[in-house]
Amino acid sequence: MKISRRHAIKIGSLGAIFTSLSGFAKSVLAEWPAASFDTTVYDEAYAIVTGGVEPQEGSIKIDAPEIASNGATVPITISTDMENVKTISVLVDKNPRPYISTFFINEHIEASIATRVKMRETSNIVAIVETAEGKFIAKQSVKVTAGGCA
Amino acid sequence: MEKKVKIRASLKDGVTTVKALMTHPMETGARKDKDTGELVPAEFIQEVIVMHNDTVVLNANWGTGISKNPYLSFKIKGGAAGDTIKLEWKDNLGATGSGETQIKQK
Repeated sequence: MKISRRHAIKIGSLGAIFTSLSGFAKSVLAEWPAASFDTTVYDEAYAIVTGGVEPQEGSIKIDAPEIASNGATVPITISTDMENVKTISVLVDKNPRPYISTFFINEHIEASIATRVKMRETSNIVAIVETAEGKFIAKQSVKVTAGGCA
Repeated sequence: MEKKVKIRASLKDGVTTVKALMTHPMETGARKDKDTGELVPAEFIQEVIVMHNDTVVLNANWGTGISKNPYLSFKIKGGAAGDTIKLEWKDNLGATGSGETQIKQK
């Protein structure tokens, strides 16, 4: 029997809607955007994250290894010295599901996020930063010698 | 049952660095079990929220591309020794995890 991931996610998000949790009930988070995360087409994920507006080259720093020996866990740090940062989004262009995450930045924190991502093969870490002034982009290629099941 | 999150927060030169490590399989739903050949169902953290005392300082939407046992680090402007930092996550199956710590002066 084939249960698609899409279906599994639908079930999951229904559960999420009916489960009210203290912290999350108070949070201002919009509903988790299943369609964006589920897409397997980079251009589609890119279009959703950029909102169809071509981002400008921005002052964004991506710290990632040039060569990742283990694609299952690639450490990255994305930071920017731009003002009024609203979000930092991460995509990996050749992953089966290219949209990795969006971090919502506010005035209480620095616009710098470190995490670890999966990379199936040699490709680009794409950072899209939204500020009050618009959307900005930077890319960093990472050579993956052993792919992670992304 | 809530899963524990390992979390540390240290204050240095007016900036609090938060480091957190979550325990989670981050299954994509596309991986096959080696023994049975069946697909392992998707199980991944979708939402993360971090509070500094009562203020939300960071939230995030995650997909399956975040690595297993996720790591997250970021910096809060300010903060004081003894302040509470709390992280909570929720996954696609409705499971949750949380961890909290007090800021330590370095």
